[in-house]
Amino acid sequence: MSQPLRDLRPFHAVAVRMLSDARFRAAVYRDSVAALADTGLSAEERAWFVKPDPRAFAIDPLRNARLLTALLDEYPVSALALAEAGWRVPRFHDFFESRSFHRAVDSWESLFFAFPEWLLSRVPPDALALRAMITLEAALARVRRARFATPQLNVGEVMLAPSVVAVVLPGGAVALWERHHQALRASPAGVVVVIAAAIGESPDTAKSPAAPEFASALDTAAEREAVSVTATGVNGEPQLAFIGEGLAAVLAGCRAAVPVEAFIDVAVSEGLDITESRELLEELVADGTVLTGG
Amino acid sequence: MENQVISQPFSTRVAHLPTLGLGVSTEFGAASVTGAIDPLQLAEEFPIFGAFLEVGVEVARGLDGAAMAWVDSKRPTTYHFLDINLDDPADFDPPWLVGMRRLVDQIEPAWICGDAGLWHFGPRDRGHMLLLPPILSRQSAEAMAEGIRRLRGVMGLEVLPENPPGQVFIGPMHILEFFAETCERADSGMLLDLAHLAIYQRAMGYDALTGFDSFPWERVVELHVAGGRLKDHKGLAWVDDDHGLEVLADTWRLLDEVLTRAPNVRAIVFECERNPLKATISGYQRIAAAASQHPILGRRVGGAGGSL
Repeated sequence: MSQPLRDLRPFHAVAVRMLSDARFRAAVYRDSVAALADTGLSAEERAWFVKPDPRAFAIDPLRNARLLTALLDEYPVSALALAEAGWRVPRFHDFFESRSFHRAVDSWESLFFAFPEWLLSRVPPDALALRAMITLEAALARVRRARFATPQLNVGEVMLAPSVVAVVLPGGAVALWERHHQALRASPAGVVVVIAAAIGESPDTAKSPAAPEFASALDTAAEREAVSVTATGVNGEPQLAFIGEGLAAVLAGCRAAVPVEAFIDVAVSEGLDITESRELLEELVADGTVLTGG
Repeated sequence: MENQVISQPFSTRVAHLPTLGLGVSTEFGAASVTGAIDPLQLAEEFPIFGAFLEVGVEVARGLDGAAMAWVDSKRPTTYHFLDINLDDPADFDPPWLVGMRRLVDQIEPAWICGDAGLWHFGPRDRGHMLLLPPILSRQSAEAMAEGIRRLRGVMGLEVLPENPPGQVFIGPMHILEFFAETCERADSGMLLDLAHLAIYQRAMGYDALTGFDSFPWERVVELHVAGGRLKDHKGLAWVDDDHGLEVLADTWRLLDEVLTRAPNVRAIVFECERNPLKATISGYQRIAAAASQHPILGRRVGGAGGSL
């Protein structure tokens, strides 16, 4: 019987991490066995990574900047809100030294999912609008990438379709996002230029939109709003729709595959009886919001 | 290539491959750069230098106007992929394969080729595209060979792995040893990029011809020649594979040497897609002069080398 092929991803992941993170690279050169202990590579294989001249890993100084530009282009309103909170370019570059970045590369995930995870870990819990903008744009990014997901469901399991995300936000968050998003898209300079001006070392206020005022835009006392983000059309462009908070909880409860009974339990806890819960599930399966196994 | 041929050994298959001669490369948007070479103009004004177009393709982007115009003219092409990690079985996902099939049917290439390296980390997503060399180990060659066999079987066309560019090479094997192993395991031909090889040999501190004696030269079907620019990073000299017109002396040396050793070469691309047509002609003439004595290519390039 032939041997299974070796998975090369762990090797490539280490190379990518060393290209993007100078601190990690230095750690590997100091002690490759220790720095790469969790990669599954043998000691001999780990030593391969310190054979090249370390300077060769850093000859492309714009590698991370290009990636960051792509990331911020999908988190434009978040970037403006972060700029208002004092974030500048070097702080965004800290992403490449983060556990979120390294975990995503190691697990072969899109960095568009790791980036908001890292941002949220760096933003205070009381920064309501900032967190809401990141959460909403993360949902949009996830729905745009529904094609990457390949759900594996067993018989008797249900799961929210990858093309749907439900989030609960502070009241007024969607309107705030839409206002700034539309202003960005309408900017003659283009989204990337506006963001670059906002997060530059000396922000060019002439190119920045009028005072965003994210800090005081949302109120903890306001009612929350639940939103579904759904891929639509051939290109899968996301569409926003307000939904009930109870439905959002039910959908969030099956973000990962769960037994039908678990779905019913959540629906019941949100106020439906068992018959209504089963009818809801049938409706959600029929319109493609929820997938079933088998 | 007919299905009954694609299942034959490489030594049989190679005899059925067409001789394309000298050609030019393109990728999405390259021809729209101000002053860049127009492949069709090259083909019309210098038919021996523009005998085929190597179309660099990312399935997600498709073909640009220049590539479409060439395809519509029914001139010969090759399909150069820019988006498949051949060493990763999971990268052969159905939507990508369907997209590639559609483009292959549209282009009708003589064969498929492309850098056998890491084209993207994670999924094929914005900002995740890059090109790194393969891991230079025996297990990596096994995985790469499996990917080549798979793509060849699915597409019904020869798949020629190319040695990628790079500055960081990971693994214990010499790059020629790695590709020899890969091609033997895949029973495949190869696209040898001479500029990339010159960069590799220089980066590793080797002579340009290191590793030549044990390489299976009969497997080389296509060559690339391209310019490169010498740069410095904190005292480290390195070559930027910029596809300019300044071809390294080592690259010319490799071309001359390889053409004496590789009897099955059927195509040479001068990768100069972002340069003005007239400025590329002396490079083409140099290539044609080198190829004029080759047993197969010589019949196509004739005396196009001119006086050099």
